[in-house]
This record gives sequence, structure tokens and C-alpha cells, in this order.
Amino acid sequence: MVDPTGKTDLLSVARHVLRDELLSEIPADKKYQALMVANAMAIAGREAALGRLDTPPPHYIASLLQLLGKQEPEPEIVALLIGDLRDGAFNANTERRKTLHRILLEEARRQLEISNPRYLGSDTSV
Amino acid sequence: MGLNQPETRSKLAAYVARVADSPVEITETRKLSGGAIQENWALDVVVERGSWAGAHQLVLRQDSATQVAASRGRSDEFYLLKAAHAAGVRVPTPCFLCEDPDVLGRPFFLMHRLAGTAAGHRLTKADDNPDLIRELAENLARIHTILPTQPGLAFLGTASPEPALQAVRDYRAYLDAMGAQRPAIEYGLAWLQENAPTSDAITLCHRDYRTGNLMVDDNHLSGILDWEFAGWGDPLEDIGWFMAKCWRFGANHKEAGGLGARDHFYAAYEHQAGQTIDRTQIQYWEVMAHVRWATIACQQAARHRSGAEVSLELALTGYVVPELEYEILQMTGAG
Repeated sequence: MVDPTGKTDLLSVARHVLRDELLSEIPADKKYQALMVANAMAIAGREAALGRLDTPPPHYIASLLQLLGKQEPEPEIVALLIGDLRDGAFNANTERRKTLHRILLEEARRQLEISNPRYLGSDTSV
Repeated sequence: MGLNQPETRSKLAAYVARVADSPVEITETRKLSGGAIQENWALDVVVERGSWAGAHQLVLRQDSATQVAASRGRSDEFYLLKAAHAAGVRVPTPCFLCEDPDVLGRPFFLMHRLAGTAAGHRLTKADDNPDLIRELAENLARIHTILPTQPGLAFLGTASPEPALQAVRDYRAYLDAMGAQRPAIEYGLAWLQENAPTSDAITLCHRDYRTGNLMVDDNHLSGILDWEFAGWGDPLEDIGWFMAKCWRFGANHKEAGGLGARDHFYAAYEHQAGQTIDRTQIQYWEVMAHVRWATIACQQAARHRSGAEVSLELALTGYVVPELEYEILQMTGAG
């Protein structure tokens, strides 16, 4: 079971031991690797809590189906969207384009919450 | 490869002795960190006599087991380094190229080792450094003096007259080859196709000219590394790559590579090149930079996932893609 606060689950505790207790003992030429391990553990913990990065949520797929007016399952609907983008179907400055932009931005934010939540916090352009 | 293994080491020593035409002693071998696409080793040798007599601190650069599309092999990189060196660009002096697989199994070359650090996270923590910015701009302008008519670079192929649209075609092909479905990258590619500029000049482009590939010693540029993506293109592509937010290592207020001011870079480049930079096109090439890095990051993650080269660094690179996609969407907008 995953602790909703994210503080007591196994990965989180192990990561804190690595960062707070072991990192200072690790030779300088291995520190980068140790930090990568800590980062991987943090991402894996967030994937366990929030869902996998590469598994889009149902509402994202539903939004695309509605936008394109299709019934195809994923990944076919994404392939259709990519085909339309390459054909220039979204080039005109229309409400459809704005809707697609909003859907994609929302999905990008969802993925950032898993891959690097601090990134959104540091962005002042939002 | 394992340069520390006695058999490999003695093969390498025999090779260096042959090309230097002198007895040689290898005094140090050490694997260097970084280099997701190739292996780098620090190599110290003492050459007894002849034109290379003396102690040399070198880097041995060898292809990795698997490659990224558009990444050049060590032979091409060696000749690019020689061309840049001859054009007055600050680079590690290229020494010898070995294409004989009997020596180390894969091609490699030797170049002089530069002093300093290339670590982006460290360099971007320092104060704004106008001298370094000037040196970086001047050296980039020197790279852009190398033209497709230059002899010895035929392996780069024919220059596309429309580099922006060619890049769009290439990146779509790379995504298709991986079976990668990335709508946000595709949104950026559609924008890049729709807004593609015509290129006024085609020159040699480094194509990875950014903080992290620039050796800095005592606050000055000691050399430009990693020429494996170089090719003919629009020189503004290199400027856009250098300025792109994704290469500022979080020091976003220093828009020139996280190191200093954008205007200082432009002024020094223009002074060296004797030409004005079309500033209206730079944002286009910054979008291109994010799309390109996102595509390469997908490729690197795919190398890991395929099992061809299992690596934590490659795996984590895949998790950089969302922030690049976020920036692509922010820059291209809804309208």
C-alpha cells in the first residue's frame, strides 16, 4: 500500500537514507550516479502513487476522442491525432486548435507531476 | 572495452608506439563520466622520442555499443575536429584516428585533454561571466566560417537548402522509427513546419553547442567538445540551441546558456562574424531546440528500453521529455 503523504513508503524511506546518510560517504566520482539512483527512486515512488508516466489517464483519451469525433481506442486515436497534426489539420487558429493545446498542456502537466514536479514550481511563465 | 585490462592496454600501447614511431609507456587510464553516446577515457602516455616525444595527457574517444540516429562515428568526428582546429576554433588538438578493429574492437581517436570542467550544473551557479560569453560567441562565429565548399568534409553530404523543413522531416522520421507517439512534440513539429524561415546562409553547425559541452578553465573557455552531431545547417540553429531554456540548467535568468546575458552573446558574435543576427528568428530555433532535444531524449530512453544498452542515465533521460514538451507547448501557444 502507498502512503498518501509519500513519507513512509519503502521507496521514500530508502531514498532519504541514501540522500541523508549515505551520500556524504560516497566517493566524489560516484556521487552523480548516487544522485541518479535517488532521482529514479523518487520517480518510481511518484509513479506508484500517481500512475505511470506512459499510461495516459482515461479523461485524456476521452478528450481526444471528443476532439477528433472518433471512437478508436488508444493508441489508434493518438496515431490519428499525429496524422492530422502532420497534415496541417490544426494549423488554422481555431477553437479546435486551442482545445488541443489545452488537452496537451494538461497532459504535459500530469506527466511533470510524476517526472519533475519542482519544474512547474520554478516556472514563472504559467 | 576496459582499458584497464592488461591485454587491451598492451594493444593500445603498441598502436600508439606505431603511430608515434617511438617506444611508449601508458602511465594512466581512467574512464571519464558522461558521454551517453560514446565512451571517453583519460589516457596518459609518455612517448620516448620523435615528433611526439614527451608526456601527453590525452582523451581516448570510442563509439559506444549502440548509436543514436544522426550521431556521427568517431572517424567523422575526428575530421570535424581537425577542420575546426584549422579554422581557429578552440578545441582539443586531434592527434590520431584508429579505424583498425583489431586494436580496441571499435574505431577511436586520441585528442589532447583539456583543463577545466564542462559540468553545466556547476558552471551555471557562477556569476554572470561576460568574458566567457564573449569567447563562446566568438568561437561559434568561427565555426560558422566553415562552408560546404570546404575540402575534406565531403562525408557531411550535401547541404539541404531548407534546413528547418529538413529537420522537421528528420525528427518525424526518428519518432516513427522508434514507434514513439508524442503528440506534444508533433504539435511543435507542426508549428515548426508552418513557421519555417528561409535560411540566408548554410554553414557548418556544431549542433550541440551548449553548456555541458564547453570546457571552462579559470572562467575562460578551454575548448569545445562533442562534435558528433555536426553538419551543414542554418547558423541560427546553433544560436537557438545555445540560448534554449532546456540548456540553462535552471539558471533561467541568464538566457545565454545559463552563463550570461543574451545581448552580450549577440554583440560578440556579430563583432566576430561581421554580420547581424536576425533576432526575429532565434525564438523559432529555440522551439526547434526543444523539439530536437525531446526527440533525442526519446531515442536515448528507447536504447535503454530495447535492452541494447541498459543504463540508468539513459532511462532517466526519458523522464526529461515532459518538461521539454511543456516548454514546446508554452512557446508555440494555442493560436
